[in-house]
Parts: sequence; C-alpha cells; structure tokens
Amino acid sequence: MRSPRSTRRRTTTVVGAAFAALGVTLAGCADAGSSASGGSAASAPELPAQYVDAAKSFSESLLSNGEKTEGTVTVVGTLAGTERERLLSAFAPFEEATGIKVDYTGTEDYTTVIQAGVDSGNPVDVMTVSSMAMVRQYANSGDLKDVGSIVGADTLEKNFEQGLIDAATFDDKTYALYMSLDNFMVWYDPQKYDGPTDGDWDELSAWTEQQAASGSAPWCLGLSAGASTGWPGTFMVFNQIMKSQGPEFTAGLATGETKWSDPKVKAAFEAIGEIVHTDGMVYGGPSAALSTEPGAAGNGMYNDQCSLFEWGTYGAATLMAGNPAVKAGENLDFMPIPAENPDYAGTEAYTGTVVAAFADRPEVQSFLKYLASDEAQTLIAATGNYVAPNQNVPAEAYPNELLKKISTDLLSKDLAPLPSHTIDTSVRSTVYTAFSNYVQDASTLDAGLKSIDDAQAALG
Amino acid sequence: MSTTLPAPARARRRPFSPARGLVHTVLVVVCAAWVLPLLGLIVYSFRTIADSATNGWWNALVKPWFTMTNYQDAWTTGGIGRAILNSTLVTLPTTAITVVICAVAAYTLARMKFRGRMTLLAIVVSLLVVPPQLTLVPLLRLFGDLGLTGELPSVWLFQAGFVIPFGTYLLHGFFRAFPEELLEAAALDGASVPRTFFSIVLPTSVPIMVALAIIQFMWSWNDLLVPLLFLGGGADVAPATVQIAGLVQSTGGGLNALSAAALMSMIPPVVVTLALQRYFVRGILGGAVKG
Amino acid sequence: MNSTPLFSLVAGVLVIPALVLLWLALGERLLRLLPARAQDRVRPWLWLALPLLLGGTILVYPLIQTLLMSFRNRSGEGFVGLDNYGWVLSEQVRPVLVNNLIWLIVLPVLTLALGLVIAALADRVRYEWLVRTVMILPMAISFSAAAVIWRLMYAYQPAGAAQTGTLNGMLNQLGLEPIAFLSDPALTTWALIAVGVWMSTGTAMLMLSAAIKNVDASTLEAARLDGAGELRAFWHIAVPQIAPTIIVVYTTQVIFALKIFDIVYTMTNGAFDTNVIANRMYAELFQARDYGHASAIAVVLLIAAVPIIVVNVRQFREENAR
Repeated sequence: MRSPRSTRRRTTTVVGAAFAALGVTLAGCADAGSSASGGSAASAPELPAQYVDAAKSFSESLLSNGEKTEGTVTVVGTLAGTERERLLSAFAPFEEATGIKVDYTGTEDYTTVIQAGVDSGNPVDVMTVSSMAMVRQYANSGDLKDVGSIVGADTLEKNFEQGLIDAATFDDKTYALYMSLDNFMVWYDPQKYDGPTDGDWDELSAWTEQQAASGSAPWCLGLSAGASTGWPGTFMVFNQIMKSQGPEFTAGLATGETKWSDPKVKAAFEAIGEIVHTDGMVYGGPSAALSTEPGAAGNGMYNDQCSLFEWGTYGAATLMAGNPAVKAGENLDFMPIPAENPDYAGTEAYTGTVVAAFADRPEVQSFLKYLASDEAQTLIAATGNYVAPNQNVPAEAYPNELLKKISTDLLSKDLAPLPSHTIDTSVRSTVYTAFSNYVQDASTLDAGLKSIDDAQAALG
Repeated sequence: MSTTLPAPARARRRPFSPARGLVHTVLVVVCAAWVLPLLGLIVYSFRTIADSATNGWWNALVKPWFTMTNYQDAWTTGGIGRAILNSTLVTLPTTAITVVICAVAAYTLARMKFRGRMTLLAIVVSLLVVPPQLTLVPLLRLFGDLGLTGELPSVWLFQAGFVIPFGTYLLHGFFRAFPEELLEAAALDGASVPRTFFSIVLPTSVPIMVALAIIQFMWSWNDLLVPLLFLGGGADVAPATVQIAGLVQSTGGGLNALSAAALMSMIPPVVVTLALQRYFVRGILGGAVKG
Repeated sequence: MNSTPLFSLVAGVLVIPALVLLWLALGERLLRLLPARAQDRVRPWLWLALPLLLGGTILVYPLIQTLLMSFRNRSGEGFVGLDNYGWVLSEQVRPVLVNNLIWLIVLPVLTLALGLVIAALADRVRYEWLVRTVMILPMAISFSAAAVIWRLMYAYQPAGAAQTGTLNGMLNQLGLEPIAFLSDPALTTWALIAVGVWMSTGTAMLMLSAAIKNVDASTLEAARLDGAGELRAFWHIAVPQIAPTIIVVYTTQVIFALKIFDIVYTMTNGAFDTNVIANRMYAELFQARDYGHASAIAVVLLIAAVPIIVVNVRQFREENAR
C-alpha cells in the first residue's frame, strides 16, 4: 500500500479545518449581513420622519389592545434589488409598531412560486403582483379572501378612485387593492432634446423620421430581459393599441373578445415595428435592441446614442441609480405617450402593483389595512419609485418634482388598464416571445399573433 | 502509431518534447477559453452600470476605473453574507446524505446478487429522466402534510432524493469495475459484507465519491427553484441563488450588483473543489492489487 | 443567535448519515440471527430500504401522479384519453421537439469528447488540480449569473459602435462585422449549446478523471514495455477499462440535453426558434396551468429516453454475464 494512513488522516484534518474555518467566517458574515438588513440598508432612501411617524401611529391603531403582537405575513412579489429595498422601507414602520414580521420574497418567478403554493395547498399569505389577471384567476378559483370586507368598503371608497376599486371587483367582491401605479411615458434629456413635446403623434413621428434621415437615431430601445425579453417593446405596442383604439377595444384582449390577429391589433404591432425596422430609427437597429437591457438602452440618452426612450414610471429612479450624472428635472424629463387617435389623448394606460390575500389571519388583515391607508401610501410615494394610487396622498410626499408631475399627470387622466395588467400571464409571456421574434424577423408577425390567440384559446 | 504522448507526470520528469508542448498548449487554450467568460463577469462586477453600457469590459483593463459600489450593494441590499451561510446550511447536509445513500445503494446493486436487480437498475436509469419541475407540486403538498414545508430537511431530502438515480448509477459503474479477486480474498479472510464495504471498497473508491460529492455540492449550491419553493425567500432562509436572482431588477436596471453577489457566492464551492482535489490520487487500486 | 444554523448544519451533516449507518449496523446484527442463505436473500433489501424509501418518495411518487395526470384535462379532473399526447405531437409543439433533437445529438458528443481529452491530458501534468478546478468553475456559478456572463459574451452593438460583447469585440479586432449571436434564429440554438458545453464539460471531465485514476497502472506499463506509444496504450488499455464510466458520462449528458431548461429559459425563453421541451413544460405547468399538457410532455421525455435506457440495461447484462 502506497498511501500510509497518517497522510490520509492529515488531509482529512486539513479539509475539516477548512470547513470549520468556512463555518466561522460565514457565521461572522451572517451577523454583519443580518444587522445590515435589520436596520435600513445603505441604499434605501431615508424616508421623511414625519411620514414614518404617521405610519407608525396608524399601525399602532391597528392593534386591538395596544399591545404588540407576533406573527409573520409572507408576501411574494416582483421587486428585487434596490426597488425591493425601497418597498421594504415603506413596510418597516408597520413591522416596528406592530411586531408583525413582513417576510417579502421578490422574484422573477413569482407566478411559479404563487401557483405552486396554491396547487400544493400552502399558498403565501399575500401576493403583490403587477397582474390583475392573477387576481381574477385566483378569485374565480375561490382561493382569495375578500379584501374589500377586510379593509372596509368605506375606507376603499374614501382612499381610492372608483375605477381602481371596480378593476379589482369580481362578482361584487373586491379581491385586491392597488399598492402602486405606474405607466409608460417618453423620457428625454431636456438639455439636448429639441423635438416636439406637445403630445401630437404625427409631429413626433415627423421629427423622428427627420432625425433618422439625418443619421442620428431618435429612439433608445432595450429589449433584453432574460425570460421576459421583449417586454419593453410589448408595452409600447400595448400603449399604441390603447391610444389608437381606446379602452373598450383594448379591454377585449383580456377576455378573448378582441382577437390578437385583429387587423387593428396588428396595425399597432406594425406601428412599433416600423420604428424598430426602419433604418436609423432605433439606436443599433433590431439586433442591438434585442441584446441590450432596458436600463442600459436608456443610458444612451447620455451617450449621444439616441434621444427618446419609452419606459415606465420607475425609469426616473432606475436611470438615476444607474448613472450618477442623471438628475431628475435637470437632464431627465418626460412627456406622455402621444395618442395616435386624438379621441384618446385624455386616456392613460396604467399598470400597477395589486395586493391580494390568500389568508385572513389577524396579522394579514392588519397588513392589508396598513397598505390601504393614507399613511402607508404616502410612504410609497416618498420612496420615489411609483405613483401612489391613494388619492389622499399629498403631492409633496414625492421626493422630486419629476415624480410629482408624473403623479398629477397620471391621476388627472382617464385611466384604463394596460393589457399587460389584464391578460393572463401565460398569454403575456407568449406576447413577449412573439414580439421578440417579430423584431428579429418582420415576417413572423402573423404566426406570432396566431400563437398568442392559441395561448388565449387554450385557457378555455 | 508514431505520435507519443508523455507518460503520467508522477512517473518521472522527462525532458521537453514536442508532444509535451502540445499537451500544455491544448490545456492552456481550453482553460483560457473556460476562464474568459468568467473574467468578463469579474471585471463587470467592478464597473458602474453607465460604464458597462458604453463599452466592453476589457476597456477597464486598458484604462482602469473601478468601483466597489456593486459589492457594497450586494452585501447590504442582497444580504449575500447571510445568503452564503444559508446556502451552506442547505448544501453540506445534502451532499453528505447523497454520498452515503448513493454509496449504499450502488454497492448493493453492483455487488449483491438478488432477484429484481436488473429491474431496479433499469428503473434507476429511467428515473434519471424525471424532470425536476414536475415533482415540485406533489412534493410541496406531501411535505406540507408532513409539516416539513419551510424546514431545512425538506430541501435536504428533496435534493438528495433527486440525485439518488444519478449518484447510484455513477457509483454502480465504479463498484462493478472493482476487481473480483480482492473481494473474494476478503470473503476468504472471513470479512463480513459491511466490513468489506467499509474497509476495502470505500477507501479505494475515494476519487469517484469525491467526484459525486463535488457534483452534488455544485448542484445543490446552485439550485434556485427548490429552496425558493420549499423555504421561501425570506432573508433568514434564502440561499445565495435566491438572493442573486433577487438582484435581477424586474424593470431592467443594471446587473452589476448581481455579478458581484454571484462572484462572492462562488468562493465556497471553489474552496471545496480545491480542498477535495487532494483525494484524486492515482493508483490506490493498482497498488492494492499488487500489494 | 447562530446556534440554530450551526445546530442544523451538524444535524444534517452528521446525524442523518449516522442514522443510515446505524440502520445498517442494527440490521446486520439482526441478520446474523438468520440462516446464511436467508441472510443473502434479505440483505440487499435491508441495504436498499432507505434509498428506496427516499427515492420512491421524491421521484416515483410524483412520476406516478404525472402518468395519471397525462390522461386528464388541464385541471386534472376530467379524463381526456390521449388528447394531451395528440397535442404534444401537434404543430404547436413539433418545432420544439426538433430543437431538442439538435441538443440531444450535439451536446453529449461535444462534452464527452472534450471531457475525455482534457481528463486524459491533465492526468499527465503537474497542474492537474488547476485544470480540474477551472473546468468545474462554471458549475459554481448560479444560473442568474451564468446568464449575465453569456449575455456579456454575446452582446451585440451595431457595426462601427463600441462593442460591449467579448466575442464581438474580438471580431471587431479582426476587422469582421459583429454577429447577433442571441437573436439570429440560425445561430441562437448553437450559441445556447455552447453555454451548455461550457457548463457541463466539467462534470464529464470530473467523472472521467476519477475513472482514469483507477486504471490499473501495471497494464499500462506492460503495454509501454511492449513498445506501444502513449496514445495507443491509452486507447487500447485505458479506454476499455474506463468504458463503463464513458457510458455513464454519455448517458448523463444525453439526459441533461433531454431535460435542458435553465439555459434556454434564462437566455431567450424560447424566442428565436430556440424553445425546448422542458421550457415548454415549465410554461404549461406554471403559466398556462395545464397539468395535462405538462404531464404528457414529461411522459414523452421518458419515452424519448428509452433507447439510452436499453443501451444501459444491455451493458448491465453483459457485465453480469462476465
């Protein structure tokens, strides 16, 4: 035997020691990590103290006998990274005042996590998702609790516009409330952009064509987003459908009344397709758009690559986080997406985060009441990521003028849900794929639209 | 055949030959190709979102401009320190359970003669094909009924159970190749079956057991869906994969913090791989037969 | 506060494996009470009891459910006969099967060949540990990050602009036009297979490396003394000895290709003609919520693996006969 026992024993000891060292290091790390997430993380904004205090005292009023309770509310949502930190900072006063722990999981795979939980009979307590279709689906299957009766019809009516309540009401019960609103808009750098901003589609089109012809790309476009590749362009199409055909026609997409192969839908795809496929209209052309992330594409406004960028409300916060040179109001401004059909100039398509509950334990009820309150929604506004849907939130709660402007602009319009919000999630991901294929190869449009119709039909 | 390759390094040091040069060239080229993508990520993790949107990562090597903010973000926002601890809590037990269970099963199938052995082997190979996605819901329901949901053992058992076909199959091939004479000699010496297994078969199969341990460690370390569904995504339970996936900005901001977090989470698996390499020793078997 | 994690770590690493060994020890003690022939008959089942219990729970139980569900409708309530299988073979799904076939043919051959060459060559150099570590590195990276890595590799900017992708940066240096690796349907599946090769060659190499370590050195030495070159000695002496491991590697790689999911899901989610069976199954399972369709797809996967199962069983039989 060549390997003496002692050698073997020595190596074992070495590896054992390595593991032990690893364990100790990790234990140390864990302390550092948890203390950081226990307090407010470095990148989360400091929310104004008066709003935090108000949210705390509201939370205290939720306690039945004034004493802190225990318990955990599990939440599955969509937010990640700094966006998640901003949201959690708005939950913190509730946790502190009530002693209830909010356990938030933000994941791209939220549909999977929620669906698997429901299927296995262990659903999460609360979902905060961007899809009203999921609320409708789980309301129909009888899995959701009646949020309206938990929060109280009076409170809902006092705090939210009727349209937002109706959107979440199925069979006379309100199954969700809006935690945040966002919409798509055209971002630009006011220090460089000199095109039209008055909301006329034809004027804007003329300006972009002129730019393209002169050799500088007017549009920034980034479609690369892993499993959701294509979504920003799809949102452009959805807005185009809304602002050319109106809310009623658009709503039909979710119910199957409007076919995706309808010539009017196809025309909207082609309107965006023309932007993408016309030489010089989009920075880098279709291939570059498909391999660029939206945030990186938007940064093109500051590299002289392009001047207009269609993206959501969160664009302000995300662009500023990604590039320290971007300052809201100074070199970042927006205009509403111009309406192709002037009849719908006053219509704005919104999406938003909706909150629905699979459980109604007392701590879950308290959490829902908190989220509906003026105080919590004021904090959401103060995080600077979204528009707060609660109509009693003061405009000065927004951290910058830009977001204040977005909120007044959005809430003054006739709101109608963007299809991404209302169509089934399986249909939605089919649309993303079909759009990506269309960008890559214009001849795939008809087959793509048919595949979306198939996905809709499969739902029965 | 005129081409000659150099003999194993441990045999003897030989003077330089063209064939030896070729071996080194091939290895260096392949290793470089394997490292290159990773190098991109490493550099990327030290750059700002705006920089990486503007030009290629190699520009940072030409004209250095680095930032640590991504690592700060990953540490605070991503909570990656705690996440690495959580990953360890999932991975080490899973690996230990896998190796023990698979060794026992493979030895039985390879070395004991009984009715139904071929059928069992065929089942083992067919179970390799079971897609993990399909097992999630039935098992979530089962573990829920058993009250295991949210507890670490649910993930250990799932991950170890799922790898049983692969591990058994891998070790089986190895135990089959084990020289019959050795086992017969042991039997003649009056060694019991467990004794033969523990004192003769296991020690000589260390390289393949280590290979299985490394592979399972990696799979478990990088599993996203199972911990996410069975443990949830809370900061005190979520392993590194879940936290890293959680750094993918849903609205499409940069992925720089994600890259920093991913690199930090690579350290333990790499340490483990390096540490376990010692067990890849040549000739234990050959030596034993001769000795 | 860390006592709980440390406790679970110790419990998991030591206690569960110890319980397995305890089970064997107790069982063996009881076995001794039986006559010798009965011992040999009972022993395999004693040893297999725990693996069977665990494997049965984690794999066989869901598999049986899947088989039953594949004959039922989307909610799992009504019986629909073979409708779901008809759907799998319909035009909606067929292109997906074709893509999977490409994966199935190309990936295992590439990873096996590369793994074997690297394992054999690395066996002859002093920095073998380094080569092995480098090859395994891709396995240490979480999928979300691997997707970022490869988007960095494949990123495309228009000709003339500063390239941000590694490969296009190289092409640019060579004066060539950039290529849209991740959106050109003619290329994308191949680009994804390259990611697959990068990720799984390490596993193949590791297994083969372990097998090469156990090749009987005396037989190789004998061949050398007979005047055989290294290449010939390796091919005629070492390869037959590691043949079982080669079959194991090839089988696992075929099955990896058959079930390929994460790479496609995170990089394209099936756009640009890259969709594969498992990705479609995932979409049916968790997005379209059609258990019937998803189960039928899984059963088709199982059927597709029959040839490789047959090859293996034949191999087992041969070894047995020897």
